[in-house]
Amino acid sequence: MDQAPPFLSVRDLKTYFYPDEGIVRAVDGVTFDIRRGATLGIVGESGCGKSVTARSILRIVESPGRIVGGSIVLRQDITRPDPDVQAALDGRAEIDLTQVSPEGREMRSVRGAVVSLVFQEPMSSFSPVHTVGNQIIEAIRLHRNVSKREARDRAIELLRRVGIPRAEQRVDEYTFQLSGGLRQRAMIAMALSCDPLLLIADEPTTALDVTTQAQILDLLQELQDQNGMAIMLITHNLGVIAEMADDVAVMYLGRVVEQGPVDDIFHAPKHPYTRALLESIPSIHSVPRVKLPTITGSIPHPYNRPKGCPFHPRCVSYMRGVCERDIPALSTIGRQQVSCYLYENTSVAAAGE
Amino acid sequence: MIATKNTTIERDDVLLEVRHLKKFFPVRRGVLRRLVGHVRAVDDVTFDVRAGETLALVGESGCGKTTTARCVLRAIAPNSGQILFRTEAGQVVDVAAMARHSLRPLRREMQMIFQDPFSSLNPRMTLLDIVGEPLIVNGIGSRSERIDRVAELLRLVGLRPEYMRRFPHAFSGGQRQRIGIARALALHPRLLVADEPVSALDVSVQAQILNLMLDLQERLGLTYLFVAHDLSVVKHISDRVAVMYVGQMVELTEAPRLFATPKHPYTEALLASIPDPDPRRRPGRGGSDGASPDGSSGERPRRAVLSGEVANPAAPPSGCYFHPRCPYVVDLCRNMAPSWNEIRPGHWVRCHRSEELKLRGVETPVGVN
Amino acid sequence: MAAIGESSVSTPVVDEPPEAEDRIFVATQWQLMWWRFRKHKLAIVSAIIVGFFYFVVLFADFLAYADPEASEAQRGLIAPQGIYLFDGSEFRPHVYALVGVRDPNTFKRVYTADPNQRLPLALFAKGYEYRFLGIIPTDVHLIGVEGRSAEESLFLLGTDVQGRDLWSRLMVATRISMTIGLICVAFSLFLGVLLGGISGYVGGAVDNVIQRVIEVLRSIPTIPLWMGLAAAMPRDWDILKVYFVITIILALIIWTDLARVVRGRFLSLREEDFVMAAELAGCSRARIIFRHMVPSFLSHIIAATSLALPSIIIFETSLSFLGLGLRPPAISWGVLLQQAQNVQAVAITPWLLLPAVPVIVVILAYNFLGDGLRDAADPYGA
Repeated sequence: MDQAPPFLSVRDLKTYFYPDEGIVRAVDGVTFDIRRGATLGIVGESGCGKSVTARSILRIVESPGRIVGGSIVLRQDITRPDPDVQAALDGRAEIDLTQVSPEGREMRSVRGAVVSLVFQEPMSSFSPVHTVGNQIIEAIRLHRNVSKREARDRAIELLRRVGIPRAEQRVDEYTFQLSGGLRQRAMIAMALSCDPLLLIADEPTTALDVTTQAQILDLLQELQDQNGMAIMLITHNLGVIAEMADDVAVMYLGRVVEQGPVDDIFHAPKHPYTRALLESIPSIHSVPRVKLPTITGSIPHPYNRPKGCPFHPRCVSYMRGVCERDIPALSTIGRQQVSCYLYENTSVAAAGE
Repeated sequence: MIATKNTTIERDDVLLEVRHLKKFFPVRRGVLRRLVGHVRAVDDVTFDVRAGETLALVGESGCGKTTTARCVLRAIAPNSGQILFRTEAGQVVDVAAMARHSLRPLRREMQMIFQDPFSSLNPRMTLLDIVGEPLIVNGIGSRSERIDRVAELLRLVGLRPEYMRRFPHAFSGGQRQRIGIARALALHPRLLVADEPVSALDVSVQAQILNLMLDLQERLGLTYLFVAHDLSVVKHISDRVAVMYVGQMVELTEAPRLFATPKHPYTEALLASIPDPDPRRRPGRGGSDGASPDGSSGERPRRAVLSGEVANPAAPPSGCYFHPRCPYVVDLCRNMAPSWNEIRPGHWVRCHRSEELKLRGVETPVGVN
Repeated sequence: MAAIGESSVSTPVVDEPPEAEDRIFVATQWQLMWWRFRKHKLAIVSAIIVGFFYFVVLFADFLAYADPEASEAQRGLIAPQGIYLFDGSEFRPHVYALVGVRDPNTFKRVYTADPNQRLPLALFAKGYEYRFLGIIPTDVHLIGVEGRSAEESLFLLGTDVQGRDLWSRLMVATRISMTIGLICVAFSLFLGVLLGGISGYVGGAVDNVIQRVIEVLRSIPTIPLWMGLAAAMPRDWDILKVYFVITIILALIIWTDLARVVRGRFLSLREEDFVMAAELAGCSRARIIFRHMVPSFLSHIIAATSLALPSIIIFETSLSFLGLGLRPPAISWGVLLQQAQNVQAVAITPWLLLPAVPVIVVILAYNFLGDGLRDAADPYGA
């Protein structure tokens, strides 16, 4: 495992939305690190805030939402300095992305060149009136001082790299002329155009067939091996997480309830939600037609957040008088971190070491 | 007029028998809307469904599973083929050939569960109206009897009867799906066609709905035609599985056999493509802390065994539709379309080489949940 | 709560604490619409303004004080009078009497206000006779001048060239201009829903034919059409006939917009899962249309209607202004504005342009109201 300090650290991030009806605490205290060359899997169901987290990092949260607390710190890697990070840092040792203006110079040098984003729906994230090539060329020329010719060559090379056949022709086609799998590859090509350090993939394969999904996941791994880039993979599909991630953060209602190395999360889950989630998914290896254990109840409405630990109304290990008071602090057990009162005392012992 | 088609179902335990079903959608171009071709959505599909079982129709986009399901219910009219259904009275009718006005009594025996819990319920009607509508339309019961029946149905799917005064927007996705199931059960149907009933739901809710469906099947003796693309879900709930590709059925057999020893290369590829929720069984990279992959020599086949995209149902390849992507392709596959053969009792495959190929399935560890 | 892993014979009841029923859970479509509509302050204000105009429609004659037909050349083109509220320190609304003096050079009467003759205003004064709501004969008006005929002494907004009081004529004009829109919309709604519905639901060749007819109708340039029709209408027809014919012709043009909205909604509704579910339950076509589809687009129709009304009002006003629509002795805003069609109006007698004000206000109000309705129209966010 790469021992260099993480180049992106998110600490206690809070992003709230303020529509007319009330406050939605979409992200309510999220902490994790991103290391070069590693894949962080963010897993959670609807309403857990995983997409809002990604958008917060890129400072593209739409109103009525805004970041209200926490920090997103970007650092330079001394062993392998990256010129784009240099440009964003502008001489400083590190920069807190929550403190700069979303339209400012720093964020614009970060977006696309340091951190880029691949969306779930390729059809809606590409402009329908520009060719694929045009959009990639635009992305390149925003961050690199190259001529149009050079940018176009690079675009074709990128399309080839992501496995699009006949790239020289495809570069002049429009998005609707490509199939779903090809579109997603084109989007990955665009995201890679400036060699970002971090690729955030928000449900990149949910809209694809399972055979195409396998191809795209293979592609992402291959690119990661070649470029050494980090991937933040956001999905609700635990199978994809198990295949791709090195570390996993499990989110529920805006908080990370558990995180740690993927093997520990899958084979030694600590948080009751993680356990219940793992037990409730039908697996290709499980014995058929046996009732699956389920999590009772449903995800609460965002305006009706439970007090204290957000999971306590559905938790099988609920402790009356304890769980509904406050949000549990993060406890560290081995390489995992859990936000649960069951482990509160364990962490105290660990912290004393 | 002498009926030339055989309209009997041979086996006693078969509830539905589909024979050579075809549904093509015309493709029209130009101002005058000239016919330029057909989308072969369902291209000669034959299978049967036994009473009390769950048969899954599996495949990727464009394979025709949803169109097949809708033909079975006569929600759309097939171009040719037979859909033989054994009614409660013991009569066998051909759903494909029936006149529109005679369909109504048949509707009571087969119903549908929809994929999207948000568009399958009329947002302007209360639960009482929604679940009670089949009763009203079929003239069943007085108003108070209907209210009782709706209460019973809601209880059956795990919702409080008091909710019948509420509107759909008061409920979550999983609860709406339960409402849809309650509606489908109102007329005591024998066959339920479920069109991807859990795909649009959260992961933790999927298990609830699947449990509910298993439960109801046991209690009410239902038969399910379960359309899905997620093989893990399919494995969990089905007795038999049919795999479809570009409008054709390529394999059909009992679920355990399909998963353990598939006989069609496409099935093998599908099984291999499924991401495995166990990080220790990753191809190549091994576990994150260097733990060795379990069991065998550590070489799981590369996940994406298939290159290319799903074939276009409007312009399918020659011969076997799967041949451009098949790792085991030979000349015969390009030139001649394989036929639908029962290579072992209860196991049908559409492949020239199914006898000779040794394909890899998925292991189920014994006794492990 | 059922514990995880419980596999019971009876399906565990999904847990929802039995709280007091939230209003929103049992709210019908109309309640949800109203709650959303309420948030649009501008739309609420516009609704009140529109309501006020319809109030004027009902009480037109009551609010007028001078007979709209009473012409007297000598009173022509009098400027608006001011109302003085206080007489000394007393609250006594009054106007100054106008004294007419014949100018020896032009032999025209020139009116000047005489501050010494103060004519007090009276509430609920008697004036010309009319039938309230068309049935009750009365002669009570909101205001009048004590002891004198209003025609001679009260000129709140001045008079036109024929000496007719503009305020009173404006009140009566409001009635015709606002109601022509309503009748027109009713006609075109009927045509639009019927043909649009058939087009959308049946589809196929029928849809094709109806759509092509609509396109042809829409591509006909309206002004030449009107000029032709205006020329074709006999000059000796009475007001009512002309009114009726104009209404029908306007309706025949406006229905196409509504038909397209309705057709669009039908087309998208046909594909909805809940419609298929209704078919599978055995619903007849009629039931599907009236029970499932119509309620879904009713709110859109209301929104489309509220946006069609201002078009009709503008249409009628413009046509009458050009002399192609209603003609004197009919009184509408357009007819009133027809008299302002010259430089003299703008320069010397600007009060003749006042009828443009209610036109602008009503159009704006209807547009904002329509916007608000359209935003609230689908509370389920489709």
